[in-house]
Amino acid sequence: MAFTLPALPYAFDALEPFVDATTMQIHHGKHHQAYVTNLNNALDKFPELKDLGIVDINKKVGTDAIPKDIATVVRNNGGGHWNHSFFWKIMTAPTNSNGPSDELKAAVDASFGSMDVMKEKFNAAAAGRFGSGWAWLGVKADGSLGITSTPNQDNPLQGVADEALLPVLGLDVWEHAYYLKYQNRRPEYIAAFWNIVNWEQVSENFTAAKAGSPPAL
Amino acid sequence: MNAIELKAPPYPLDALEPHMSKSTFEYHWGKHHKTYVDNLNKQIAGKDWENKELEEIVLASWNNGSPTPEFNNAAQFGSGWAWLNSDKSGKLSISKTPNAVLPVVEGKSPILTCDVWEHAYYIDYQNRRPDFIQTFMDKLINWDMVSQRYAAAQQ
Repeated sequence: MAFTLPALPYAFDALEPFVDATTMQIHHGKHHQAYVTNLNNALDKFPELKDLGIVDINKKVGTDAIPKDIATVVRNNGGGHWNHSFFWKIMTAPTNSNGPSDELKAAVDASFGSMDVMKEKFNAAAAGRFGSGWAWLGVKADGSLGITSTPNQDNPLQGVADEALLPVLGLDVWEHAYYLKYQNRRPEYIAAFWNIVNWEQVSENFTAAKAGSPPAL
Repeated sequence: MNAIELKAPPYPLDALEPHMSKSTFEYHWGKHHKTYVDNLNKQIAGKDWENKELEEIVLASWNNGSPTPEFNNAAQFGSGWAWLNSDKSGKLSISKTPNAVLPVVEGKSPILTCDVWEHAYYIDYQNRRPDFIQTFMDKLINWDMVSQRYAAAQQ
């Protein structure tokens, strides 16, 4: 069964003024669509991999389970498809979210000291990722929360990741995610992101991660 | 003190319109390139490298594949560059590099390059990187300069 582009859970302009409607239109309809199309094309010759589902495909990136001649395409486009499917859901219209659950807040405090410190570290990971990539907050193997960043369309589910995390929150720092509105001012985009986090979804992701599961897409 | 200099492009910022807008140049040269230069100058201030030429700094900071922090500032999937290179015998090759890597660290002499970081084309072409590349190839290359570099690579 082919992969498909999921619908955005909100209108293109829902995240204004923090992410502009034109960016959402192009980011979803062009960039994410391209990852889906390219992934499907690569897996045409290996239909049994399509049936694995996008989470398992990502987990198998970097292993022999993915045939060598499509390994890079699957890493880039399988990563891109999972990353963006995850990303749309952890955002919502400004003032639409009531903040993190008590469990998530407690876990953030335990791992970082406070929400503010967690945000500082997340912001630093996002700003410090040179070139294209993502910043992540996720649950580590020992159950604590950690922050990491990955290059290009890699993610912490993949076998190639520096640090294995079950993602709870993530931020796209490819220039296509912010260039039309923020141009080179990536730190401004990162700061603006906190206004549109869907904490309810993030809290659900945390609950799943504590139980050892990746977030539902 | 011998700071690295941000040189102006050899033409006014609107010279490549409509293929590459003045706005792109204002950001790409005026912000991105300027930031690389400013950050590099801050990094080399007070060190040996302060008095070296840019190419020496690039090679030294490449550090045989474990680049030091200064390196990032001296077709690809994600950010990077495409290169047409010449060896000393005039034989051409094409290569691509990620982020700020460049062929000189692989002993190659580039004679033509295209920046494919999204900041190089997003204002004018958004996601349409192939259209940007096609326009670049058809309309924006300074072939006199490329030919000069080709000749120089063989000396």
